[in-house]
Amino acid sequence: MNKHYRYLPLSKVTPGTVLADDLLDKVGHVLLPAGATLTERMLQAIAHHDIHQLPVESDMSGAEEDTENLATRLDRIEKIFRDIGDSEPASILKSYVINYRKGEYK
Amino acid sequence: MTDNTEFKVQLDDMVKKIKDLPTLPEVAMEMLQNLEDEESSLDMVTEKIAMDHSITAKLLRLANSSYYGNNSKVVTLQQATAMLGVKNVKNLIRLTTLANKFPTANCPAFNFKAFWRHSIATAVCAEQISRTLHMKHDFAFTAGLLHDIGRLVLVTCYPTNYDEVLRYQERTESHLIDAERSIMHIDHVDAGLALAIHWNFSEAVCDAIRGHHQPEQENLNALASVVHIANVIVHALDLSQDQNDRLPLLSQAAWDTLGLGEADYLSIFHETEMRFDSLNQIVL
Repeated sequence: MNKHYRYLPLSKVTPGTVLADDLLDKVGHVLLPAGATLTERMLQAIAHHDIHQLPVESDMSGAEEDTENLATRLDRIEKIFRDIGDSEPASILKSYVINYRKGEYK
Repeated sequence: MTDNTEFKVQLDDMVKKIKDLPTLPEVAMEMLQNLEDEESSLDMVTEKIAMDHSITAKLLRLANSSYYGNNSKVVTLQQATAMLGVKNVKNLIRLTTLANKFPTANCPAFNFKAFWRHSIATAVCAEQISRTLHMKHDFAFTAGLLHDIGRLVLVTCYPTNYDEVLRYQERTESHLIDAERSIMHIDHVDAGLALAIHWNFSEAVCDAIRGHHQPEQENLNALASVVHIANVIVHALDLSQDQNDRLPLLSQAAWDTLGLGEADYLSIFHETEMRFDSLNQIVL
């Protein structure tokens, strides 16, 4: 229960991480079962299957992780909306997207 | 600053090149052209798909994906099409054939993956909007999928010129469409329309291509506004994962035409992200 499930880009997964769900290949065959502890070798093999994200168990507490993700998301919103000026509908849309992201990480 | 015309492209020349593009498989062409054809029954569609193993595999994966998640595993094509429905099946066929059969050009600055992510997300989002508005959503998906097809035409027919466009855009921090006009004197709306006419796309889809940047033009199908807003939302949600992504101009007229409120948008955002994830993992 205290373990947290999340998707990480393959490049950020380090050996020793525990797989949180069955990992399937393109056709749907199980490559690695849930609960497997990933080794350097496995990570290299996974890269060959054109898989870019892994479901992993994370030991960072849910709250810490969410704050971090939300901050990254909000930064991206600022960047994408960088040149809208004070245009009306774009500012409204921006406030909706911000509310949406905040709601997601509540 | 660019007064050279080295990269300029003439419309006639482009139309000629479009005619040389490889044609898509017949099934896909048929489905891209006849959006209104409700005649083709589930059985007929299933029969056609059975001949294409890659589509069969993708359909089974989609039916078993968490989005459509049900408890029992879907193992046969018949089960999958019955569960997903003719509309979803046709959309998946349109999508996979376009994404996999279009030739990839040699243009280092063009991010094909981001392009397809953007097109698929816009298709899903446009369908979600039209569903919220109780419009016919079969059109919306296809129109969203094809709205930027002109970018693919330009990069396929003129890879070198397009490379220059993308470099220019990065240097000047400008909108893509302005960069295209400055360098090539033609933009992805012109190119998309030329292809749509050559491939006999339905008028609604042509309107969506023509109007996705300027939906306020007269006599456009309302679908143009839907695709315009879907396009902007997909940028706003960062779904193409393009580092330099920026929000395109958002038309007040289109925004008012849809007249949606915050609650509608939040649920559209959510549905779009969920469905995009399941499709994206299967197609790309």
